[in-house]
Amino acid sequence: MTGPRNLIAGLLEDGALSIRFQPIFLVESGDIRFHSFECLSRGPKGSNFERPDVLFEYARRKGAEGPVDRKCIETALRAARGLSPGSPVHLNVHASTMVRDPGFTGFLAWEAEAGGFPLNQLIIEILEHSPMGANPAFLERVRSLREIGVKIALDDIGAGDSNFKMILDLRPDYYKVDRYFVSGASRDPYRLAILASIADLSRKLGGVVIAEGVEHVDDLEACRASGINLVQGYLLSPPLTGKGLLRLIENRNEAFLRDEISG
Amino acid sequence: IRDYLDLMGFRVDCAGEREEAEALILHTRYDLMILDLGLTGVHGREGFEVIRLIKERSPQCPIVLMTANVTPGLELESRRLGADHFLQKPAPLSVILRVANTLLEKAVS
Repeated sequence: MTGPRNLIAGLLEDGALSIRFQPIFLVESGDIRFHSFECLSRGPKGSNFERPDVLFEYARRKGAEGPVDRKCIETALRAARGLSPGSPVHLNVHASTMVRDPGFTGFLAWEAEAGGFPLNQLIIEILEHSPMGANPAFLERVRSLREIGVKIALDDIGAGDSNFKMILDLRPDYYKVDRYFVSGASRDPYRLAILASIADLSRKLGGVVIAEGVEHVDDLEACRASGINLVQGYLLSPPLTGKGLLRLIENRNEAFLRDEISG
Repeated sequence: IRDYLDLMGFRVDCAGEREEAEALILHTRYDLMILDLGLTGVHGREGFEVIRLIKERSPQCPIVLMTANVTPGLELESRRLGADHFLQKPAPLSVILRVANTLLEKAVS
């Protein structure tokens, strides 16, 4: 049986992790265009860690979020090389990594340069598991990322610890709305009101909203009605391999997507 | 055990150590749990912690404990926390299957 240390070491080996690309679309008056993409990590095929929730929960329990986050970013930037020059690239990192890894900004800058990504094209999505907002090391890391031009997104807004306090502490450039609020918004005035209020809030604060988990045409309409133009989710595309993303961009299958939205 | 239960039509997730099991438990709803008290990182009281986590996330999920030496104290404490069945290791696969089926039927009814 594999020992505990070996499992983490195995995850950190080259080739253990793979990346899927979740396209983000810009929706404007019935026209849907590819806008950017989020890099999602998967553990080794056939293992429990193929599921990202299990992968990151395990890393957290082993106190290895930092090295695993770094490996995910390294793998993502290598896999994303040349896929869509000029498109913003979203990368995930845990707030705890930001606190515990003083060299994170330098690491990111180095990996970005190696992959040929301009730093102002990178968006770091901060995943929150414990309240880190007031942590000085965390705020310092966010500041240093901004200083080199990287944009900051707050993930899962409205859920867990991604709350108003985090918005104040982090001052995000992007607000990613959790699927919990998006799914069913067209039929639920409460959800709709919350979507509209996040969109309004981000507008006032100079940020951009992205709705996650858009799976139905009605929910897409609800996002648009709330003033949210950037969306991701299975309705428009599942997470794709690099080849899949290239095909999506090359085919520019907006015609198909338009049919979906009007139908 | 995994291959055998797979063959018998179960969908099986298998964890090699405590934290891996806990990560799975937190993100999955299971119908049945077989916990080997020889699992890496699961000794003595740590086994109880895993049982507690399972019962917290899926209160209805029956738990089978497998161990080489069942002591009365261990059995008592585990039952108090919600373990449903003990299997002495090594247990024949056919016995594991019978226990699994019995507990699942009980859970459904």
